[in-house]
Amino acid sequence: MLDRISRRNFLARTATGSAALASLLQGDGLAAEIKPHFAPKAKRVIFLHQSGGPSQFELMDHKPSLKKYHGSELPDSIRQGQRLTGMTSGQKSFPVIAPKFKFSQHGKSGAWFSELLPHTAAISDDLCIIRSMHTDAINHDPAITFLQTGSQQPGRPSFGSWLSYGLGNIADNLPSFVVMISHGSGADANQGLLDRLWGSGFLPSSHQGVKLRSGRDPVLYLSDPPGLDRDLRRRMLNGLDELNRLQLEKDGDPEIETRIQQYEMAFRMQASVPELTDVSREPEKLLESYGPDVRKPGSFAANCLLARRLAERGVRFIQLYHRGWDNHGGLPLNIPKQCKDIDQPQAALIRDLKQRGMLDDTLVIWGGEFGRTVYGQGGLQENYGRDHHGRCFTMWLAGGGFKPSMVHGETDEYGYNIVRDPLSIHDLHATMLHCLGLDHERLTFRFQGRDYRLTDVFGKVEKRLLA
Amino acid sequence: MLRCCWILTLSILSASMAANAESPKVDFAREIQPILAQHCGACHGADEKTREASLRLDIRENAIAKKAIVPKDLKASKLVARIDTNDPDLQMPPPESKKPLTGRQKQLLKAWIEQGAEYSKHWAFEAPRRSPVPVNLARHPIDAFVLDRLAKEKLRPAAEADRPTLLRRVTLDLTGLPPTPGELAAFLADTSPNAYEKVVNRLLSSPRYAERQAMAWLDAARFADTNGFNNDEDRTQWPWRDWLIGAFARNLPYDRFLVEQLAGDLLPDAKLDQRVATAFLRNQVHNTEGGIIPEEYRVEYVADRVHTTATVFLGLSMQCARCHDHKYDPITQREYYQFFSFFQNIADKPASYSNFVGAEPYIRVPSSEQRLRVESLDARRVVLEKELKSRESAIEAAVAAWEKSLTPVARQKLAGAGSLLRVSLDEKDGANVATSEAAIRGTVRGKPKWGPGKIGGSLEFDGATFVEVANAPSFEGDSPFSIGIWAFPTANDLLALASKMDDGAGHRGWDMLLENGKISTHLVNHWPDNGLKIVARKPLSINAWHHVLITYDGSRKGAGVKIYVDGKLEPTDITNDTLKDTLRTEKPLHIGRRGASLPFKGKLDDMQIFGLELSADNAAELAATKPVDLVGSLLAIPVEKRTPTQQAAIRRFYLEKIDTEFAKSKAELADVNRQRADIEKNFPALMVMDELPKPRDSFLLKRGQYDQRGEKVSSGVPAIFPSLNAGDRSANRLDLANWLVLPNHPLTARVAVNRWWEMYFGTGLVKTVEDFGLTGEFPSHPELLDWLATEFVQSGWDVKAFQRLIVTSATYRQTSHVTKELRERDPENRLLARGPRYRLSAETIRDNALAISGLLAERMGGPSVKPYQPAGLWEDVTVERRGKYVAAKGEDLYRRGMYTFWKRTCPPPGLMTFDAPNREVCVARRAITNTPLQALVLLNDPTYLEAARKLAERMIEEGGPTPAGRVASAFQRAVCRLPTANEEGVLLRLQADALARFRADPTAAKMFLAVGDSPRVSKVDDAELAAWAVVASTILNLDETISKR
Repeated sequence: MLDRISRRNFLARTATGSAALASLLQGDGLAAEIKPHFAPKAKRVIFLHQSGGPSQFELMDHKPSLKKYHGSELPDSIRQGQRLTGMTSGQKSFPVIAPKFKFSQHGKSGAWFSELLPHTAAISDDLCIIRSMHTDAINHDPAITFLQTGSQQPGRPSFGSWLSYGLGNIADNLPSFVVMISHGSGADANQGLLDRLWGSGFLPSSHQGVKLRSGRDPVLYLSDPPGLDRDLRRRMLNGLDELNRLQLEKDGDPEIETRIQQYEMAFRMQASVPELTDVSREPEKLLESYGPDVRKPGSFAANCLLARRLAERGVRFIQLYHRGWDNHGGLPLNIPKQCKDIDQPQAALIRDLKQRGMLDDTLVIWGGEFGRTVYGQGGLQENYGRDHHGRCFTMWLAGGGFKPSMVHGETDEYGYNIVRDPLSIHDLHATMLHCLGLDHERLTFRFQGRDYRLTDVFGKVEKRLLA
Repeated sequence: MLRCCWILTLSILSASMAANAESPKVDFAREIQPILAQHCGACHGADEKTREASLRLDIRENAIAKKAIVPKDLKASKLVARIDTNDPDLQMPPPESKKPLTGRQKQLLKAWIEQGAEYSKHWAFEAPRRSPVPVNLARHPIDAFVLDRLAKEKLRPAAEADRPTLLRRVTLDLTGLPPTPGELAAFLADTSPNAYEKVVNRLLSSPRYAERQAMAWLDAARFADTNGFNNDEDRTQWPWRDWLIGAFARNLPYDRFLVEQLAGDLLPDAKLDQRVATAFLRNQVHNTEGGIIPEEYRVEYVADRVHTTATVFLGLSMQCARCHDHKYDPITQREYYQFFSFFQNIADKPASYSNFVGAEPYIRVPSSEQRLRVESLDARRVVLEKELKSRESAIEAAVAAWEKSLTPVARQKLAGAGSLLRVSLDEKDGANVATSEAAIRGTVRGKPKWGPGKIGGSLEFDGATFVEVANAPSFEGDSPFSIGIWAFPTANDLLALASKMDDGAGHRGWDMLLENGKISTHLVNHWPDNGLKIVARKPLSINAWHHVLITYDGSRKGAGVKIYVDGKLEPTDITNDTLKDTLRTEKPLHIGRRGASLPFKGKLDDMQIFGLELSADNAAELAATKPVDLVGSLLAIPVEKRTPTQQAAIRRFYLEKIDTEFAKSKAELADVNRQRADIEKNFPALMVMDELPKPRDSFLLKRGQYDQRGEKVSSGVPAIFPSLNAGDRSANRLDLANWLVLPNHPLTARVAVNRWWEMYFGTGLVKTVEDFGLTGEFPSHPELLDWLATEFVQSGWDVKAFQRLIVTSATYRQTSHVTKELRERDPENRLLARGPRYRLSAETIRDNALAISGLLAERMGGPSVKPYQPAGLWEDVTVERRGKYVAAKGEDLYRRGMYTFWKRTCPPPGLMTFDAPNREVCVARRAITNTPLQALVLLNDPTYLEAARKLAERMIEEGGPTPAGRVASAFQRAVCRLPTANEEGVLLRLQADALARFRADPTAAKMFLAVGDSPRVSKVDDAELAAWAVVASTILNLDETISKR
């Protein structure tokens, strides 16, 4: 059923009814909603990507013994001589650094949270926390590319575009894959984001993520130019419609019909997107629950609220990037600011979804491209930093078929190696796709003769994570 | 009335139909091989490591030996039982492989076994076979093949498109731009039988043709203006794009086109141009992220070259054999690394994030403007050098006459000549510092504290004090000079005696330092890659006066620098020796300081700068506080007793100081050299291929991992192909390139002609233009493909001739109108019973609008440009939000889309919306999508709004006073035909509506007309112009305007 049907073929066979219309946003003429491989738990994903790699030590991977080891050299038996990034490979000493923040246990699972995440701790019972994530990459570009496309090297479609391709678009006059970026309050983001993270690789480009931005044009080129009012725009589009129809009669190419519909869709988007981004009708109390930043367009809080609104409107993949977690130095000063940015809004988002009964079929995922080292970058310092660490890090998921009140996996007492239940990026992808009703081995696209998958030739569904 | 190009009748069609009686013969290559490859290949194919039951289905003997297949015996063929069973333990393919066979596929397999299970080599791996052109009434070989196939399908070709449509189609196809009204009128007026061919020739000789062909190659060559990855710095690979355009303009044969891009550097006596061509292999992404492992990325870059070369020249997915043997195609992992080894013999150095210029190897390539400037400067240099030489050769008599004319007083004056500047530091108070030159003055920064010195007074330096002297002499890298100073250091730190240096420009200039008591000096153009440093071996004592003198002979070598302390030559070490260019800087001379970090502590006195290299004798004179006598003492020696060196010194002195004409020419020469150096400094750096003297050892990398080396391999090509013979040496990239263009190569010509076919018809004869392997699509017209490939080679790989061949065919010239029946029968037009109709490419949509509105700037080549782009996009994604997009001014806003600056992490949004790739990896085929975001771009992007405004002005200007005339003029510019009465009516009504609206709200009209930088020329009032701009925008949004039809 996922074989590519010829676009022309398809349009030749379907009327331009409302179902087909919704799919026209995709432009490839596949049915609006494509049936998944089996009954899905989740219909959509909200990915709260923390760009730069948040430190697990200061947030959710509590390592009480680090107090004891603080300042001592990381034993070779733990480090096992594995590769370091070029930033610390010249370092002679690897002193263990204990986090400066207090931890306490929350919820039925007894999960540990640092004092930096009080709101998130309070929703502990909704979270499936994975402390045993690991990745092959140790630098930002390959690591973030791996997490978002399943490959460290450029060229593959992103998760969101796979989902758009695999499940089609059911959104009301909106794209199926939306991306929002916010800038952290910690040190200015010293790593870049990349177009490929929401790109469609070799999938048709109609599956690529559409950026939703703050300001006059939430979607690029959305607004009519100054001086052209809606009435005149409508008249112009009516004229255009008539002219294109005359051409359709003459040439007989169904692409013209598609184009006519796309202009109508664009016209509706010009209303639906501002309606989406206008939060003035949200109850005051609800706005307050997302924290004061919710009133700052472009903030993580504002984007969390928009994420819920996008989810309500049927958008398949809602991708947030929050920048500023790459704390090679100054970590104790920066990480509280970063946490303050995200803590209250993300907890409010989960509650908001839950309260609307949407958490069951919305898969929320939180995490960065890797974790950070237990040893200090630049040695033992008051205002310490931590280098990239791919051998273990923490992510959490909520809703969408993932088991709530769950803590999965465990790291050693140094928080350096995984000692129980490792979960790879490919496994994570396979499990997420499973919740979305897709068999990761059957969600394929043939390119240069090969049937490509998000999970490449790897990945195993981790059934223990499922509700 | 148009000629019918096909010349065929129904009766011929029926005749060939009859000949084509139904034949159930199964075609192995087309029908069976893809099934075996896709469904069975992973376990029963070429990859030994994953092979099950040691059964291969890709080799007939093996399949028969294992009884999987018994020809003509379904019962005995185990394969048949296994595909038919429902027992999951036995079923093939196994259910867990998730590659079940369809009923039709099973039938085909059985029919094929019944018919004898004949295998054949994959069609694309055998040399193209030139079949005779089918005999029918078609006049053009392409048409004969197409007609042959249509007849078998019981279809008829369409009539020729009308002339305006045809002109628009061929003009857009060959140049990427629409025809002008003048070109349309000329074509319609030309009644000669070869009017169309004349148009084709005109278009093929247009520079726009070269741009259009180049544009199509940029995706394949993953050309971009930044490195990609996290840091995504700017790069300057555009000289390669200029080369590319030039290659198509001069119709470089395709075999040369390929060889120069893959191995131009290895050609005997490679010219700059040919080295530039190899940037094709260096356009890949480059990662400068801190902390990456260089070898890991070096391997990635080489793998990218393999991937790109194999995809665009061979149509092969060779990258699939990087980690294991290819699952479908006969390419082993070992063969992959043999191929890989061709592409890894360059330095491929890592490059740093800050001040990225290029990753080595790179060369500096002048732009065409720079080349012209340099050529004119070089011409002037030749004249000047000749002039100086001729003066020098006639010198002896002039010197003798001058000597004779000298009075004793004049001789006395000459004693001190040669000193350019002397700062004696003899002031008693205040912050002003006098020098020997009235026009040059210095100032004491910090606290001036004067006291007794070595000669007269001196200045004390407390670590914060220094003297700044503006307009002090500056030096070229090739001009000799000397600098002396008296110093009384009171500390043993890192101190600066003096400097004239621009820290912000790579430390250009010179300095004189005291490093833990040792005198050192830097002469720098750009540190450390273009500068020298020498250090004295012995420290000098502190709290004592020393005379320090540095002399330089202008050789740009560390060996040409000497350090004298107290008149004695010091032994020195040269610690850097890369100076190549000028030391000139406009920064002031500093005494007692370098930059903000290096001060002086103690006393300094009597600094002197000389415009020549002083001798050891001079050094002794200075250390004895005597004045330096440069020529005075030489002149005192009688002519006959002078050594040749002494006489030469007098001659040089005369030329430089006395003969003003000579001095003037010499100064101009220096100026010419400086200008040339300044231009050269700004030559863009182009990353190219530059073969290492000794090839790297090449290894199979297990699982494709950079650090998992397996067996050593030598360079080579997969065994399935004709062999590559390099004699008794190991084959290199040039051998590979020459092998690729062997006339009987099975793939090179087929892949090339297929790509062009796709350019004209929207779909290749092989739809998968990037994959001619076993899983690629079988050609729709195999005989035609082979005929075209062989024809192309026989023509001497003549690229223009090939374009002409396609566009002059009747197949290409058919009307694209399609009936419902034909559309349903052949939705993708693979049978070619009609002409092509599809949306234009991203760049062409923009170029087309700019051309229609008259905004297009036709300037060719050069650096990429930045047209309008919404604010903030770069800041959103760049490191530390540093990237800022600053849109161009003037004509660079209106250059063709192929010149738009391509930032890989944030590509041009207007182009991306129309399916442009991000250029991180090679892309052989763009999708054509149809989305609402595209509508938003065409409706609201300032590019198209400004084009609408200018088109409005143009239609008023060209369409005359009547509204209908104006509509007709713009409509014809956009789609090359006049509007029908219906269409005209729609647009006139819209104009009237808009006019009423803008008359009611003049401010709205003003605002609507304010978009875009181009000035308004039309004198028509705001409301009327705005109303016409709405009409123009509508015309630019027509499906017909953005489509080729």
